[in-house]
Amino acid sequence: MNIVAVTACPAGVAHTYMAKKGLEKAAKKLGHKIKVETQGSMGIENEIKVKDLEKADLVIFAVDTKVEKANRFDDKTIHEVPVAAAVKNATKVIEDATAKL
Amino acid sequence: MNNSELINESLIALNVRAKTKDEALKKVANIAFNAGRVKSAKNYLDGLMERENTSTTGFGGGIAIPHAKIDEVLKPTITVIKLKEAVEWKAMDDKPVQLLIALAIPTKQEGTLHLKLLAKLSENLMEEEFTDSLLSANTENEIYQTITSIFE
Repeated sequence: MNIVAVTACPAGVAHTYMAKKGLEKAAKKLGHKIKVETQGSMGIENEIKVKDLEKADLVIFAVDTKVEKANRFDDKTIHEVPVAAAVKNATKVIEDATAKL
Repeated sequence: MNNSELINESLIALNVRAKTKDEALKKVANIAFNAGRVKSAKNYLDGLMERENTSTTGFGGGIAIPHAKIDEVLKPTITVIKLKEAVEWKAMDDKPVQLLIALAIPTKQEGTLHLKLLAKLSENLMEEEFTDSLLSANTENEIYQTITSIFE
């Protein structure tokens, strides 16, 4: 499965990047491809582009803040969780999201 | 700033005694203040507590990453404290916390190198090999080497 995800937290320094790593590790373990965009204190990095969205089967937001450029995802069903969920147990986040498809 | 400026051995303390989370955070603030990294220990402590009240920074496995982004930070800083005895933290896995990896981030940024390094540190905290070596370290130098090795 192709997954795209956005992570963001208020300070944009710690949890944004922990959640990114958590999701990447969990996706690998579960046999999915994932691209994680971080919206942290350095702005948007690894930005999800139209071509990424075209092939995406699943969109995950692991965020405690408003997602920037959220209109990119208007046509998609978004599975949204608090950023902490992806830090604590990203495998569960992905499993829950895929179960809903 | 080079890689090592975020942390040095005077910002690492082992066998620290604290009975509560607040006491542990106070130790962090004092260490950062005494090392000349923040203008005010109280402001840093307030920032840490405020962040902690928003949501826990105890991410499991006995480790927490308390952090504050405030004006009074003179230099971006990592302070590491290993407590003699773990304290209750309301962590994500409900386990008490023994190791604190605390960040002080200035509101006004001069460049993004320190943010990149802190992001790298955060990502590494999701790797068991990295956290295990921090948890098993017995000297300030071991912790210093473990953390700075990921910045190379």
